Amino acid sequence: MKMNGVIRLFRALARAYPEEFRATYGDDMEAAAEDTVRSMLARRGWRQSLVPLVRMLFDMLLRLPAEYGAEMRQDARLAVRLMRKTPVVTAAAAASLGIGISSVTGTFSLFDRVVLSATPQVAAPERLVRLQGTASFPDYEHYRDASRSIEALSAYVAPVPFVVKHGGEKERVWGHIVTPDYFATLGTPIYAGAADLSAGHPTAVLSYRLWQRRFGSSRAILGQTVSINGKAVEITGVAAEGFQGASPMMSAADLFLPTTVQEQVAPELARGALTDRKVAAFQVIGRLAPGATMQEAETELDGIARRLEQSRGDTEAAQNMARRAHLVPGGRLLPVPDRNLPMLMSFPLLLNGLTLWIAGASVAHMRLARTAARSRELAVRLSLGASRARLVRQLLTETVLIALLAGGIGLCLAWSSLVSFRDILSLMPEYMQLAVPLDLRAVLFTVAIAIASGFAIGGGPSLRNDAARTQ
Amino acid sequence: VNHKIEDLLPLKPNWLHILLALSGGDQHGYGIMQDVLDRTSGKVRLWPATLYGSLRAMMEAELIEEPARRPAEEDDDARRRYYKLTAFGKRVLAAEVARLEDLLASVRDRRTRSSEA
Repeated sequence: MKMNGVIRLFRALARAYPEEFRATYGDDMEAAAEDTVRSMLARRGWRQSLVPLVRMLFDMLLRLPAEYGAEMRQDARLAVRLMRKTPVVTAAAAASLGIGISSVTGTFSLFDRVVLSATPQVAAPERLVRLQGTASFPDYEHYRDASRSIEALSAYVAPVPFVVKHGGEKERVWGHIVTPDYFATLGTPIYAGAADLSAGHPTAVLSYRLWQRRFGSSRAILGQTVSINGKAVEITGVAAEGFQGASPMMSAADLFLPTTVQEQVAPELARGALTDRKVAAFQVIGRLAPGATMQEAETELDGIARRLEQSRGDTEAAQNMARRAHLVPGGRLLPVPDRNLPMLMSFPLLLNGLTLWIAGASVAHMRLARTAARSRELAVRLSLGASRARLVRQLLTETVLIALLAGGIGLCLAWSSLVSFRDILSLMPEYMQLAVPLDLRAVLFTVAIAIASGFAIGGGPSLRNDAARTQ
Repeated sequence: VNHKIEDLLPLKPNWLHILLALSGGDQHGYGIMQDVLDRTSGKVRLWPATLYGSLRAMMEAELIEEPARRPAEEDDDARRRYYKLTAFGKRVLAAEVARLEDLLASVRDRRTRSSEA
């Protein structure tokens, strides 16, 4: 009884082997296993046979993946041979699929970097909030003084062009006009000197890259005056490397001047920009107080705005029930509200997914045509005893190989397009320098897409071929 | 398929045992297993899956083949497949044996010299 159980176990294992292997060697292997079990038990008895029987069991288990691997290698060898025979078709299929994959991967990397990245060189970016739109300076001051849920609130005008003259050379540089607490609110480290923006005379902070490029990274410039818009301005500090202001994607800044400079230095401050409630020239960014949420802060600012209207006796505005203040995340490269992220991320992916789909469909058509042309070869193999499942696997192997080739092409294309994106950005100094790495997730994503599209494309023709056979 | 002898050397121990077993005449799988067991006084046992996996790989490498003629009737076990060495298999076996002999010779040579010293 026990012996039959053991033999049945080995037979069951033997049936798990690949079909073609079983067709040739299965019966012999089962018989050999059976004979071994019988002779061993007859000679040694159960107790002595236990260890060898377990070893035999392990042998059966461990050889199983090896046999499937051998079959896959054989499929792959055949597939490579066929691909070499039709290099043009193979190259066209791999290239079109590769372009589709590269657009998906590139977009994924780019959007991931641009939309989800934090502003460089700010402390705890997730605690920063930004007022949507712009505010007047008096309103900003009111918000700043009245809010409890926002511990620090700064305002700035951006983008502002400045003409910097140093060593006889004039150059236009983009910058921000900021409230003196700007660097403190953002938690931005100062690389050299100090962010002394509340001195009695005009002062400025340089970006690291402007300091490097224009002033040769010389510390001697600190405390010196430079002509900015024709007025003498003292350079007090250099911001941390990589910091291009609070909104580097929208308006990268290389020069930071305080709101206390007169309008002779910054014409943007003329015409009541600092005093008139009707001139909404300022972007407002703040840091949430510990424990406060963005929703709480928004509700609070809204209440402050309403009370302000009431105190001004603005009855017309009081009729308006709409929210006065909207907050969006302030520490991201793009000020996108969380609720818009899925839309923003999925739309381009969807578009590129469609491109990939079209590429996939054209490859599928090519394969379908080839499969039809190969029906003779497949019929011969079937009549030689190959199973239908085996032929489907063979066709899938060919497609997955093409998909992997396409995945490699796609990765190279995506990488080079991201490099050229960075190179183009570096030609435009008013933009932030943004290197978009091809991240590991994107690579895995691509490989997954490549294999999935391989199955999707290979599956169709294989099944069709399968159906044609059963008719 | 083109196979080169050098690509197969050194031969896997299991393959060497199987080639040796078949050098004495055509055999079926179980017979090969018994032959190896006897020749190594029970030390080397080719478990069934290893045996038939190796036979499959050796058929693909064209070291062995199924004989065109079945063995003489009294030895024939009709249930089983028989295997024989191919000409290529014989050459590979010879090359492997020569390689092992060279190896042994150099080991002996080293030993003699160190005992003389």
